Amino acid sequence: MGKELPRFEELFLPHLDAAYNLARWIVEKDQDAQDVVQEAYARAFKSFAGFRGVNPRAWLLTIVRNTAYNWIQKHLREDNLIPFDEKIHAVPASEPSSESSYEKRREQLQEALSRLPPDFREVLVLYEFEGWSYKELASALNVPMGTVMSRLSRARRRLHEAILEVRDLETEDEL
Amino acid sequence: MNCDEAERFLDAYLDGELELSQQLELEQHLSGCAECQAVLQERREFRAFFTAAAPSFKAPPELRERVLAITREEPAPAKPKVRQFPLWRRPWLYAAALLAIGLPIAWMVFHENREHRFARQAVSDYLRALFVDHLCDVVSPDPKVVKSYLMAKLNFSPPVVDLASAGYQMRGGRIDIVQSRRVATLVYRRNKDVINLFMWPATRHRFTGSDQVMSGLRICTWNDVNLNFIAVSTLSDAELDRFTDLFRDAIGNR
Repeated sequence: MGKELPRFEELFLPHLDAAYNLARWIVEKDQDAQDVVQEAYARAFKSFAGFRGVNPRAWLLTIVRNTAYNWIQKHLREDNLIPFDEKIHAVPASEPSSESSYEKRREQLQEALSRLPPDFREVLVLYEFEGWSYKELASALNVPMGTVMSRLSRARRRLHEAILEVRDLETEDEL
Repeated sequence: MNCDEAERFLDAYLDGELELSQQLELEQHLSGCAECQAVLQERREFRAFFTAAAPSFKAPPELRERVLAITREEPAPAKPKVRQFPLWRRPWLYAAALLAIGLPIAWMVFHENREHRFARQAVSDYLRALFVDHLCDVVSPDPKVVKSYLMAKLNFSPPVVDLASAGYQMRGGRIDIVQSRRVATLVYRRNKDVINLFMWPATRHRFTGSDQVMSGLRICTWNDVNLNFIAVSTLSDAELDRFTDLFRDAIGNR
């Protein structure tokens, strides 16, 4: 097996949580995210011989995001007839009233996040969790810095609006 | 710069990603526009909420096994022998790999997270203090007054120094709770920027020193004279560095 395998695991296995987190944020569901991550690692393993970079985490995450977008493309074609259905179902009809308000806000945030387009969720997770700078985002996403700035800003604003919408919906349910 | 343009830049401003010229233009606009200031404050609060409540997902154990299986079962093209590994050896390999890789990582993550958790809480204390407009329990430009107030409430003696000559005005101090311990918080101001400096005795865990950005705020952590310090501020990197250097020099020379 040579030295390839231990080195691959040593370099990339520590970033499994980050890879999974990114995939969850982009494709949302657990099983889908697992499939994406598994495929991304398989791709990474195949092209590993070509890896000369200094930042295995960023390299891996770029593969994860590409894989995730391929997955979404494929999935959209297959499921063209039922867009948004799941999202409607995801709103719980009635909330248990004993819930703490913090938990509730967390759930509202989750629900609001699922209303954003995936590329908005992606910049949010890469910026907030991975701590990528605008410059790093621009190079990984292959867009100009100005686009990073406006996408991130729009993502936050849309998310804020979505949270308010979700809260309104829930208030209506309670009435 | 008008309000529309300003609004476009607010997030990048809080992210500390504006070029200096844009930053100055924006600050000039903000200083004369209450509406944009209110929007800025709203953004700050939203970001604080988002960083605190955003979900973070851990890879499930079965995914780890699926990924390990890739590297075990799909050999690199040059070495097709891997497939002949007897099945019974794999669980052992998983366990060994998990232990060998997982333990150091768990240890590192635990330690990293601790510093991160402290910083996160310091940031939320900072934001909360700004939000409720209660920066100081004791308001005074005199370090002696601030120190004696803090000492009366704490079981350690926080170093309080005068940095007014360097442009950092003492505003006062307060007591905060960070990770369920009582900490002293000094409040300094430089022009419009507020600096909160949190400090408490380092018992087991000493900060290693780090710089990070959270919610658009700069955070600097370090350990000195047996105390852990976290400085949180809207200052630029360079100015916060200068502040921490001055502070450390001043307490070193007392």
